[in-house]
Amino acid sequence: MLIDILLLISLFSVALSLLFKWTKTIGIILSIINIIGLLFSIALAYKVTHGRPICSFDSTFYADSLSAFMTLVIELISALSSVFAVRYLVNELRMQKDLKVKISRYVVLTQLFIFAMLMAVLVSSVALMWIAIEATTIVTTFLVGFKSNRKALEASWKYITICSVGVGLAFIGTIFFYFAETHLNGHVVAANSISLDWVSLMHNAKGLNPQLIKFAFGLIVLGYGTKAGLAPLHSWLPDAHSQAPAPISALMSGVLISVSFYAILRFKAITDIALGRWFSQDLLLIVGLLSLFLATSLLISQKEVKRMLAYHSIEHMALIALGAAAGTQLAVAAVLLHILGHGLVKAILFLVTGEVAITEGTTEISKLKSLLNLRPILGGIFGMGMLALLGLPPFSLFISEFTMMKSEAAVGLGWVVAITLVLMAVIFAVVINHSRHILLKNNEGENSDSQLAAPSKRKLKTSKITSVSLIVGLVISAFIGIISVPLQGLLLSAAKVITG
Amino acid sequence: MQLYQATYLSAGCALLFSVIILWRKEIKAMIYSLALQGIALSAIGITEAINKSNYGLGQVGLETLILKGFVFPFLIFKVYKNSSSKRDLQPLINTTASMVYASVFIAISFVSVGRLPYISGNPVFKLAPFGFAVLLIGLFILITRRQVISQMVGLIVFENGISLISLLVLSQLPLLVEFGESFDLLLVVVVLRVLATTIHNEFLKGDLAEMKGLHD
Amino acid sequence: MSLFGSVTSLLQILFVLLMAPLLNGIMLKVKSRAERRVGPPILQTFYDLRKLFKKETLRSNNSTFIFTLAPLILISSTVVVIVVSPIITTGELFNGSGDLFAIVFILLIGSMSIALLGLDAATAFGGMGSSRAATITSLSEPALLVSVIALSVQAKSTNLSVIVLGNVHHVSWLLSPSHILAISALLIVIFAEAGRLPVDNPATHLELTMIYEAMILESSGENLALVKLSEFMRFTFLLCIASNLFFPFGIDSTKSWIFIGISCILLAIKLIFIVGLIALFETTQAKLRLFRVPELLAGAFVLAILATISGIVV
Repeated sequence: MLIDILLLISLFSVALSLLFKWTKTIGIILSIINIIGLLFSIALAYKVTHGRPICSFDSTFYADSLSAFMTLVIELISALSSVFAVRYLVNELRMQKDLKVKISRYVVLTQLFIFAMLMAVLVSSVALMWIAIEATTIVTTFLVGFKSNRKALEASWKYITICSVGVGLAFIGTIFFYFAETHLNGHVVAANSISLDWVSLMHNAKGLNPQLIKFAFGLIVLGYGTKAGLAPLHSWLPDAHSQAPAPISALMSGVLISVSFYAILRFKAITDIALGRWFSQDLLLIVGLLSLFLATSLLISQKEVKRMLAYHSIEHMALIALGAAAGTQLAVAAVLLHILGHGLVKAILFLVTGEVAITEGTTEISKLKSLLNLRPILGGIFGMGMLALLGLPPFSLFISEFTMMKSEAAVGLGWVVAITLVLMAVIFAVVINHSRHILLKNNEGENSDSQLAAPSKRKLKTSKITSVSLIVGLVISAFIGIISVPLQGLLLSAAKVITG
Repeated sequence: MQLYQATYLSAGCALLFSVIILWRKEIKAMIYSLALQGIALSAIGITEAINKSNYGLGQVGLETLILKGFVFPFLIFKVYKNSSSKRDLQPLINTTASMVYASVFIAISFVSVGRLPYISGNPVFKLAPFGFAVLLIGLFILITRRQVISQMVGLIVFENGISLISLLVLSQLPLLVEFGESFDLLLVVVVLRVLATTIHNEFLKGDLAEMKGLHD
Repeated sequence: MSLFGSVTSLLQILFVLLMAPLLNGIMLKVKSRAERRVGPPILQTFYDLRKLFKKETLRSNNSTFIFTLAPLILISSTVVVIVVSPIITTGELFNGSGDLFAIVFILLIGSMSIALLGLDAATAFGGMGSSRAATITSLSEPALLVSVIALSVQAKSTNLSVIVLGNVHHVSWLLSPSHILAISALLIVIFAEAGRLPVDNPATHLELTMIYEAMILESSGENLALVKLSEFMRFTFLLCIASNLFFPFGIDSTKSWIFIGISCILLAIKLIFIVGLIALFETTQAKLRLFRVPELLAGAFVLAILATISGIVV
């Protein structure tokens, strides 16, 4: 029942945005609907944590605590970004009057995007999940190219080609899982008697042919890993996330990549039963360490805030992959907490950057100076967000990173922890340096006339609603970090879905 | 027994057409080969449907025929008509080397997929490496070509490889999934078409080499 | 060797010897007709050869014994492969000696001799032609060998007679992907080896593009006639093999004289048909630029690899 309501709410907002031309009122209504969706997802999470997994529609949809958790993350960040989207779109309209049609399309696609992500985590069939994830690629392509300048076009072209390839590989992986299921325990099973849902896959996992599963899981990690921004097919991510409008970047960086990782986690659970833990561990370690190296080395030379944040997303997905490699219940719980914390903080940072782009007219690091002085609230949120992203207490990222590393060390992956810490220290130094530049650098120096050059932009006020919602987000993150009690039950039971 | 021959033949043709697409430089020839590849795929679906007297598989074959034999090539052809370039003259890797790579890909797919359990023994499953080779060649085209249209063609060859594998290995996916997948694919191609047209208007000749705004 | 074997071998030589100039004439005729010209008579190639044989052989002062020897090696290598291959019959020719590898390498001896001929007179064009021909041969040879392997996979033998016989008995082999791919690779290689379009244009003497003609530029009289004749014979031979591999029906496998007669006639019809197609194809084709030729041959190589692998798998 709750699943139906959640999906219906999402569908309703799609319909609403389809039927009405976008105005500020519609935007506000949409964000209220999204917040209602968030409330329902909390209800779902509560119900599933304290009861059995629920199904609906002839068990087409299925929610255990893992899906409920992902729903929560999706709804949380879409609520956050839809509040900011009002602000962003009003500003776009102010800049260019003839954007009405385009903006209406933008809103429809955004709502479809959220709907597709919800579908991806709530359907029970592996293949339907694949369809939903592919659908997210399709709808977000135009969103990435929203600005329709050269760079945005380039980014969206790269995005759709690379992600289609990745997701296509994942489809073959899915096919081979299915194929393995038709040869259960070495006996040929009629294809139409097999259902492709998680429950039956988990149930049959012991009888799946190990060699087929190895091949299939390799493709799954490569494929969904592409969509999750993991190496080696990660190159679309910095482009797409930096070119998309801020609310979309927030959604993509905050949840979309985690939704793909959710798919990997699900398949990992099956693979672990079929093969034992070592195979998925090795694979995720390779992918995770490679991504971490790449993200670190490329992060150093970034000149633009959104791009820097995008590389940061790769880094965090790598951390998540490493945590998942450890594979104990505690580690997976920490991974999920990290997904939530990273999603929240990254969304906030992208939104703040969007706000900065609106008020300051640029997101280039070298041009942004003494933000803390000029716009104390915005600068403060940005600074706190950065600290949160770097994994400082009291924010939840600290807890999750700490727990992940602890569990990695506990399963004998101490060397991974060492490498991770070194690379994170490098990132820490780089990001602190950039942030110092953006927030504190004294303005009065040689470039004082550049400020005079753009006086009109200076007049723009920081939007109050945005600031408030972002601060609320930060507070939530800190709150989760300090006392994770309300989430603990959900996290542990979700992790149990993976670890069995 | 004779019908297996038809399946073998179509699978061979599908792979052959992907090699031809890699080989040719005229975009028109690439598009025609793509259409023929789609037809070869649908032939597999239909012969398998007759072989196994499986009604659903026949539907899949027909759908493949319509989508991959006609709709996709047609959509690409529209982009082609819109563009000014007739040839993709400078792939990142020259054609001779590409051919050698193609043979390496074919070998790889036979060594990897062909050795999987249950694949090698079955008269139909053992064709799965063909699909994997088509997929790898498609990926290679996508990576090494610099024009928008050729990249589109590469992506569709890649997707053809996927559907070749799924046609051969699975007698049938649930129809919902099958159609959902095709629908997604159709949307991808439509989106690509729109993007390609925009890119053609924005960039000279749709040469992606000019896209240097974003890189590290 | 039995009487049958000797007679059929002689018949094969005779057949190819007669068909080769005839086919060339037909090709010229079809081409001219396709271009709306009247064209030379079909027997023109015979006349040309007769004229060349009558003419005096001129020799450059720089040339060596290779100059006289090369055409002889060429023609004798051609005759040898004709004798051992199943052209009009799969019966006991030089039994067991019709090995595909042997045939390929004997043909190669011919190619090598003509390349030496080009070098021998020490002219610029000859050397250029030889170097180009050597390049092309070195590229087409792997493709040829691999496609031979592909063909031998199904029959489990590299003996050409066994392969052709297998094709006659198992019609399904003909449509197997392996067979089709191998044949397409083989056709490309045949075009390259025979110096036809789109690799080389036998009708021009354009110094920038010519390959084969450059090598025989210095030859004249009997020498030239021998070279030309064996060139036609090689082409005809390759076409015979291709047609026997691809569409072997009608080839004699019963060792009866009547069937050999029928087989001769059928093969002649098939050859004329193929040659007509080639001529039409050539009118629509432009010559590839020289640096594109490797692409074509690399393509043939991939096809051959494909053929081999799918032959092993399927």
